[in-house]
Amino acid sequence: MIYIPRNMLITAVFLLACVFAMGFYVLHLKRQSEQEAARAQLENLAPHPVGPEERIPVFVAYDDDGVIREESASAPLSNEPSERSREVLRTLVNRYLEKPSPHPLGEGSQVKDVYIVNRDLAVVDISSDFANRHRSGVLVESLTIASMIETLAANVPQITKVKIMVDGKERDTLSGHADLMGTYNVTDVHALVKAMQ
Amino acid sequence: MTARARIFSIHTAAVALLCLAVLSGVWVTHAQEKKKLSIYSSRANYSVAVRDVDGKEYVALSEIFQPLGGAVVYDGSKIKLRLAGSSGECEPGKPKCKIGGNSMELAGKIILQDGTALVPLHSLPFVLTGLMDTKFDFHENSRRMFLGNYGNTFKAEANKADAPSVAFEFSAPVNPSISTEPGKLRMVFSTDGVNSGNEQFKFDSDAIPNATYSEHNGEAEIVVSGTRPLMAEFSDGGRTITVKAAPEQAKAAAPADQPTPQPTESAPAPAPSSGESSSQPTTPVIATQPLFSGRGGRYLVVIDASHGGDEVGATLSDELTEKDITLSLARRLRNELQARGVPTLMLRDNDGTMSVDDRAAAANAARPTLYISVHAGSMGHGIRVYTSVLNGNENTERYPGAGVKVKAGFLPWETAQAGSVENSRIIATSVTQQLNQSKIHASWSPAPVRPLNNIASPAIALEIAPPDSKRDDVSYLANPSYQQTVAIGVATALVNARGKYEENR
Repeated sequence: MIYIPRNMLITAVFLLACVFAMGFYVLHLKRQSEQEAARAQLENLAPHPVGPEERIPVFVAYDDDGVIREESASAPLSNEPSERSREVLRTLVNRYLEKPSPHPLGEGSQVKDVYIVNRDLAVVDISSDFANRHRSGVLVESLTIASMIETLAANVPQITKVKIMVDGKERDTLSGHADLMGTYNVTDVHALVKAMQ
Repeated sequence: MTARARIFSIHTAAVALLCLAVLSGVWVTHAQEKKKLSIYSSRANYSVAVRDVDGKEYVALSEIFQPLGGAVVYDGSKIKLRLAGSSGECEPGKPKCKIGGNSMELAGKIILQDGTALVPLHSLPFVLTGLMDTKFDFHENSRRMFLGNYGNTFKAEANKADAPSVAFEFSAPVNPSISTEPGKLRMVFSTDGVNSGNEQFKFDSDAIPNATYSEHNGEAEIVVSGTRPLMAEFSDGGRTITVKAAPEQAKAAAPADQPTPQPTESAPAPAPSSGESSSQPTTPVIATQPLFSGRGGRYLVVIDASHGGDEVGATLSDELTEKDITLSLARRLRNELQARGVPTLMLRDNDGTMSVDDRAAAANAARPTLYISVHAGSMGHGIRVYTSVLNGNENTERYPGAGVKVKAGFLPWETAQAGSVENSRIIATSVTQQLNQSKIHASWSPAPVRPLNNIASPAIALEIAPPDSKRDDVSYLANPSYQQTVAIGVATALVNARGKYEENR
């Protein structure tokens, strides 16, 4: 049998305990940093007061009657098209997230960003919760898509086409019905909204 | 215990567990198949449940007699039977009945269970024919009974022309469930009364060498074997089913004018399979002949029961999902259209998963006169008819020469509907008007619903909601009577819309 001196044994146990303690501390730091990053992302997603408050037209979907109505809302807007588009859509989505809501969206539904490509194409990036928690049905999904695109087009007139992405990726449908693969023409959606008014 | 003995014990336990799992699987599968008896007569074709009592098969007399216009009454001591102007009586607990004054020995005693009189299955034909004074043909092993001279017979003939095919001509319209698997096309006839003396059919065709006929548990089945993918087409008011093999060159990527039927578990129609549900077909739709003619220049309606398999669609209630309602409604619509002489093709006739791109590809390959996507929802009331949100000018701008009167050229996948959207609107408007005239509330609007934009033929989507009087009762969507009313309304509307559509061609 190998003899290990008592002082060596105590040192080894002490060092082992230190390794475990440091491991737990590193894990704790990792979790803390992840939570901070998530919080920072949420803050980043919240509407920014980037300009003076303006009254803007928003096209709000009403589930009870299956219609879209034009209303007005206040939003801090910028003249920069992509920021303006983002704030306009967030104002609409916040309206849907209120309780009671005329057209409830799932918890965590957010417009993450809007990118303007070639001046006339808006690429709207919505959160995965927006799509994953959206109610399924032709009418309910059409109301969401139509109200978003019409609101966007009414406030940023240079936009003539809209593409919707989910968490930066293409997706077949919003929740089983509404087309997210194609690019929407604002004029086509305008005709759809007219039919829903 | 030695190490060797321990390993042996572990292996034995593992094998025992595996056997248990396999056995329980077999038992569950077996238990799920409910026994049924199918009865075919000139008055009604129907199926009833078969119950096992004391090791014998029994059926409920009332379930048998009612569809035939008869009645079964228990007066406290005897079971009185009445059918086709004759009467008889049986005594519960005894293997005897008196039919038309003659005493009859049964294969087992008559049982009274919860007020329902049960008769041994083996003796049923004697009881029935004793009362009806008619002959019968009882296939006891497969539990199928033909009364009188009833029987939907058929003949099968091969056509070795360009697209090898076999035509099954039935003596009465049929409505089988059709499924495909590699090298086979299976048609299951439940209430059509299909009967055949032949079990094997051989054809002088390399592509479709043979077919088999078999019967099992109240159903008849025809399995057509093929060396190429197979698809089925209905014609002659549902009396003829033509099973076609894909052209040989279709094994390579093919455009829409050379359909590439690829068997999928869920679809009788040619459906190019894709690995991912979101992937788009790599081959664009090519229009080499007028898009509005339908296959062979006739009126063909493709019915697409939306969702299916893992993709349930809207969860309407705890027990009700959209995929079940759409399948049930699509089947009813198919039956109603076929009853009106309109050939149809169902893209999904079971609970299989099919991506929207595969649905569009299958529909385009069939080149229908009209594509109908069936949906169900809880919002609003009545029927909503949708057409594509495209305005019809997309392809004219991007592809000069393409558009409404397109004759040739590639169509972009995302706007394949553009050239047909005008006709889609004409049909949608007409269907809406017809439904409203039939007192079924209907409205029409464009909607961004997939895969309407990808269909290169007139295309509409229907979303069924509960009627106004049952707005808050979403379970009413499963009501057979409501579904039937809707199916009849839509089928009638489509047949009447045909005139307006033809005018516009």
